[in-house]
Amino acid sequence: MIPELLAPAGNLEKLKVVVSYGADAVYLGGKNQFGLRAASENFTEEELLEAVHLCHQNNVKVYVVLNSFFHNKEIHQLPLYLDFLESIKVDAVIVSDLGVVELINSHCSIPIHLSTQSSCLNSYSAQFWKSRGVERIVLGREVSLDEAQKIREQTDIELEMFVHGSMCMAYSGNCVISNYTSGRDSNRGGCAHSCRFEYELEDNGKKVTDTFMSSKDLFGLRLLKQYQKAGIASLKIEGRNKGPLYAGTITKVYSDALKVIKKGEELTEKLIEQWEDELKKVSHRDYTEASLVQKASNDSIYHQREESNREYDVVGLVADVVENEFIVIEVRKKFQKGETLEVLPFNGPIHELMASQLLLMDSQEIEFTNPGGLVKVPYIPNIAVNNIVRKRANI
Amino acid sequence: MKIVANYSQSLDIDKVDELLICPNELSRHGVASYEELAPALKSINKRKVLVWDILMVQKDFEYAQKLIENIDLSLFDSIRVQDLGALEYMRVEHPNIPVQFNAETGFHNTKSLVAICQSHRKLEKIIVSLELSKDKLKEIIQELSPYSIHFEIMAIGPLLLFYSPRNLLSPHFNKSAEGIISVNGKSEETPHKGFRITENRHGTFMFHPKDHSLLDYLDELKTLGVDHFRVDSTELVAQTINFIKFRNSSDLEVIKKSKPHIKGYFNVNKSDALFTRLKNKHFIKKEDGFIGEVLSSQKESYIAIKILKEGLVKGAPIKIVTPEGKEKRVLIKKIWNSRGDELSGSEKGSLAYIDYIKGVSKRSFVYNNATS
Repeated sequence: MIPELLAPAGNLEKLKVVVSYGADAVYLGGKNQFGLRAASENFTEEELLEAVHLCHQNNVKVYVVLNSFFHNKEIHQLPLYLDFLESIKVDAVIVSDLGVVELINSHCSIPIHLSTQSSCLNSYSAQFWKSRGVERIVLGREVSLDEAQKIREQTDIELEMFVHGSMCMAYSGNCVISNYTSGRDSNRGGCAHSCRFEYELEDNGKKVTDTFMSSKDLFGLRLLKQYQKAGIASLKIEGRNKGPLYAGTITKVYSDALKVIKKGEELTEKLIEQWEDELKKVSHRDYTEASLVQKASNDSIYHQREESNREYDVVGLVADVVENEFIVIEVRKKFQKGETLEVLPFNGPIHELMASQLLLMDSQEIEFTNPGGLVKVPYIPNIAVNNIVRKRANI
Repeated sequence: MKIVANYSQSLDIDKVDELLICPNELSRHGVASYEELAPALKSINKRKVLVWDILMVQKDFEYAQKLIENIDLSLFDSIRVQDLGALEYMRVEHPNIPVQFNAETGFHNTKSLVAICQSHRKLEKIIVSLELSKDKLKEIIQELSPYSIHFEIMAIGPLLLFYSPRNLLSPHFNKSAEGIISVNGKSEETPHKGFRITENRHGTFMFHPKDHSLLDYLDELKTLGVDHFRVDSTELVAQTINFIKFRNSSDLEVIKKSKPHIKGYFNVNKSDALFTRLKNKHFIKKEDGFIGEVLSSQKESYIAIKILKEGLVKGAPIKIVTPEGKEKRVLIKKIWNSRGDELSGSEKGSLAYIDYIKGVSKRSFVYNNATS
């Protein structure tokens, strides 16, 4: 079995990007307090409808997050929303709260996936959730692949695991720093990312200043075969709050890698290194395999305040292609005439694009672009609308 | 009103109703091993609860399972668990032993707690979350009354904010002989300082700089239906127990003066209030007549529209709603494509251009004015 690739969709634009770049399924949240990314743009009901339509047209599944820990007030608000989700035929909902699982089971027949927020870590726990009607479990990020295999063998439940992206340092659902320092419920979408802060630690006169609770980013690319061997049904990419370049690049790399596995070919060191190069081009912290092989050790801690590792910036998205004439870029970041850009096609290798001429839409020539505008650049073949355009970062 | 406290040699056991036995192999804050604790257990003539409150990945669970299988569980009146795997294990393997469920994390609605009550016929007590305000607590306890279970709350003690399995302090500090590191932490975010952070065999724990105290609300909590009050403090334990038992105000004064306390969310929990302000409501699209989104606005030149729904038609009225919520109504005189070719209309998925409209910016929404 080849695992499904599950990508984040923070909004409709990002959804289109990850679908184009090879996601088998997407997860997204509505504009309500039922998910854990309150600051993310999320989806109106109309956008959700459009998202489901677009995804199903492309054989992509849609999972909607309802993974807050609910208070009674939200529980009472949920049935109407469930009716809507069922009516538009979402493929599953992702839930953390036992009360929500109970409500869904009694109210509708949408399949339930258990969120990693529930910290399901062992086979007895998996059995508990299975007995409550959960169809798939997103295991806690502390679980190793060997342990996951055991859980699957002992419970015969479908498992999903994270494969890439930012990680909570705490057991998910077991951090309430934001609740008491910022007045924002971290388990209802208000996480202030206090674990990324710098802390001064002091013991008996010894002082250390460090981001001691900040985790490096998960990197499971080299372990794809082990995920497959463990029988993991779905590989999840973290990042509903991340931009389209991030979402598109990560999705493309993992999608390309899974295609190789699907063909029965080897993931050679050369291929992996190429993909690693691509992954390094988007904003990220240092990478770790965390607990996938053995318990996360000291080297899984990220000792920097910000995620500064980024080789490339996204400069825009392809807005229009006029065959054999020019490409229109919707500019997100300034670039200059003469710069070498790169375009990420939905499939296959990266295309180089020399910005030898920059024209405004009225054909006025310019020397540099401004974010927010449209610009015409020279035509190259095999480019499509919504392809990501990037350039090497000025670090 | 029953008092629950962690067993230690210095505790006046006679004044406590229920003792928490915390072996360090199974309990997140236990100090002594089960082997060290076991000899004293038989002679203690009080309700004894074995605390098995760590969260466990499969390997750790298997280790804990072996340990539990070697413990004489008849020494205990109940087993306290937090990991749902431990709850399920007790249900399957030891169905006749009473259990207590620690619901301090992630159980804030009646339905979830009803499900817990229904999941184990020997469930005797729920330890409720400190994030529940008194109104919510009242509602939940009332709705759970058919299950005839007890409710416990931490009356006073350190407030756990963070629980990680990773060893976060040992890269910087040395462990004590007991294998524990304890430091004070100050966040870059002022004024947050004085966090107590400890590392032990189960990982790293961070606590609020101030202890959580509900000592001022004991009678109110009793009225709500809470019947067990836990003392997690390690200082002034005797005074605290005295106060809970006899309400001597001088004991309370000593406790209050000893260190700062918070009452957390007992009166009201507004930790979701910020969320609506995090969103720009004008980004919400209306149901009818939506055509597309402005991708770019070039002063005195054009408005570029990504056509997402119905086509744009020359001569038709449209309405544009800016991100600030301002509305502009115009008649489309001219439509053209990226090549500059004039069009009579525009298809879904294409990029279309109309004449510049003052005040319209990127991310404005375009509607068919006839239907919106």
